[in-house]
Amino acid sequence: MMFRRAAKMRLNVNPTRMELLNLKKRLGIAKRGHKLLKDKQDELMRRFLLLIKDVKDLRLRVEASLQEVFKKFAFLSSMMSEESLEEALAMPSKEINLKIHDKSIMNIKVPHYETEVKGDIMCYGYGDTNGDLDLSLYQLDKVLSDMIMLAEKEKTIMLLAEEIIRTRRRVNALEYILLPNLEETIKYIWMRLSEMERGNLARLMKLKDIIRKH
Amino acid sequence: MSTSKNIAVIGDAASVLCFKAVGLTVLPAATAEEVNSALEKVYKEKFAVVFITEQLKALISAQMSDLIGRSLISLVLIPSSKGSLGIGMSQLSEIVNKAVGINIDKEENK
Repeated sequence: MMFRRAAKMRLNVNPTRMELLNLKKRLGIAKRGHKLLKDKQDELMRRFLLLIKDVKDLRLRVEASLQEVFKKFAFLSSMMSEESLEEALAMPSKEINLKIHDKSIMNIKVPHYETEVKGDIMCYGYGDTNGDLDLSLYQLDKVLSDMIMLAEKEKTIMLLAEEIIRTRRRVNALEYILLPNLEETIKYIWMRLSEMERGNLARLMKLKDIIRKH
Repeated sequence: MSTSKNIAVIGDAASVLCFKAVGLTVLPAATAEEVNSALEKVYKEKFAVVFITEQLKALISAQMSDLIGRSLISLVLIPSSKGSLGIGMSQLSEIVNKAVGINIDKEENK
């Protein structure tokens, strides 16, 4: 089926020498574009695959340590009263500011985060809190930098993936539609032109014969 | 360009309360309405990073996830205190499948 339809992929142009020249020029450009896009796709893919492994490891680590922290907090909330726990955490003195820089990977804007930390996590009275609270908060604080790195990398991966999909569509459109179309049309015009040439030659020979007979 | 913006955490109160102490903006949410209004706030106030618990991911409306997806906001799934559902991991594999076109993780998982 595909091959039969291929015959109809010819562009709708007049079979003239002028068109032939134009189409050949277009074919050249399309081929160059296709090669460039293909190279871009390969490079994007290479970077993507490098990143994906990092992100997976990072996510596993973050998930594991977060679960540990949550477990500790669950213990804490059973040991301390809910009010005093909430009270201890209600007015944090620690502040995290993210500075966002744009990084460019192959002309794709990806975020790069830089943290600015102010204050300390210990901001509650030690009288009615448990020592484990300090420990688990310290642990959470440690996970946080990993979490921010994970955020940055996951977003980067998503953006890269989108770009890869877009590039692949373009490469495929060129490879399977535009290039065959152009080649088909060029072949068609070339055959029409040479058929006309042969017809002309035959006519000339015939004429020559008629003239010679006189 | 460099701007300073903050980080938000959306999730059930029991899981996300602890993040308050380390300086993040905590937006407790449990219902779909709460989740989406929290996300709207995040979008309007131009937060950079949002951590959301896996349990709440299903409650995000299509429009909201589209809106966040188009922006530079980084939406990251985290497990809640009830444990990990593995959605964060499977989401990663999904992205890989989409980008690569084939499932290259299968062999790794075997």
